Amino acid sequence: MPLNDLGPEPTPGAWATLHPDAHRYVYAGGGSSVDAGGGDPGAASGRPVSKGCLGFGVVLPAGFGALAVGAVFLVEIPVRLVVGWWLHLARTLPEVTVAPATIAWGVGAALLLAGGPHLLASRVREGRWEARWTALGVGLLVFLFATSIAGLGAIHQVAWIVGSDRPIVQSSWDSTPSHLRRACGDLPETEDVAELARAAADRQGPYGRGTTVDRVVVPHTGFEYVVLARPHERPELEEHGFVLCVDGRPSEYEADMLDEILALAAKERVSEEGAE
Amino acid sequence: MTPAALAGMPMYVLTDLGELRFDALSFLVLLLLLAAGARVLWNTLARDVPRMPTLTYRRALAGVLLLSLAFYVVLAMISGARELMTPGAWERTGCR
Repeated sequence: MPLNDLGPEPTPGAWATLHPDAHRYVYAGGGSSVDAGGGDPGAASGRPVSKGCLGFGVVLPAGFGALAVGAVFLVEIPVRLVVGWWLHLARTLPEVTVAPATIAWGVGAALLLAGGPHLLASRVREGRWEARWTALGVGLLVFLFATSIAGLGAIHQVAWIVGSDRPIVQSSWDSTPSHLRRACGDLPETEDVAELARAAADRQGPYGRGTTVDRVVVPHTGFEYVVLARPHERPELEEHGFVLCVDGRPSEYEADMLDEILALAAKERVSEEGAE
Repeated sequence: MTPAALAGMPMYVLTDLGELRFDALSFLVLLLLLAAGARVLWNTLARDVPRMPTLTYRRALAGVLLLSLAFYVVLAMISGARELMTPGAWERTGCR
């Protein structure tokens, strides 16, 4: 299907991070029971209705209701809370690097942390002090520290979600795939955003290796797109790059970002002209 | 060339940032729920030390949550102290 067939109308002030290829989009009971009342088949047959069944009977229709009125985020949030940890790990683990020196320092600190109190306890206690008591104590300390820091992080995330002025919900017409469809749909068939992003990703840019900025003004439409290739360390992004697009009036935050990107683009353009 | 018109009903979905936040929250809550591990270590130690009470999972979770809040206070104090000690971070606006 040609990319141009995907294009619904743009929304003014829209801004998103886009992947250039629409079809390869990256960013892409137990026990207790209740009396259900006279009309309930379970009660009629003398069988209690479990809280799990009752919850399922409420949650499932509520979920369908939310989907029916377009409030997809009401379903998305609980699903993300249940399976999001896996997505988080899948996203962050490939970025983790191993620093042998830091690991050595950590092991040394752990040995000191265990050895010091063990020696002290062995001398102070009149009877025998077992090494496993020290190991259990230190393990408990480290475990409590780690889980408490996780709790602290969870509190911080909730505080951000509740208190941030950045929206966490958006209309699908403002979503990344929608912008991508528009970006591709508004471009003349001869200009391929993906091609532009790939070409941009091949060059050296201000955000690091293989990163650069391009600016595309689409003829006859008045829309302007900024193509930003930002591969980081991820091979799939390095291959395809990213597209940022903006039209109409961006928000204050987005306008700041746009100014920064355009300034970088202008700087790069000047340096390229100088090199030529 | 005119842009195509939007058609159909829009849906309200999480933004990219919202998705990242909820994914991170899910991961951190999972780690917090691993307080069960603290319970195992504690109760193993309690077998050899009769004075230590045994912990249920709920008590272990409550203890970890309480410790989290204590950390939050400590970290807030640290960041506050750093800000207070930064030259020029605070400007006098009242009378001398």
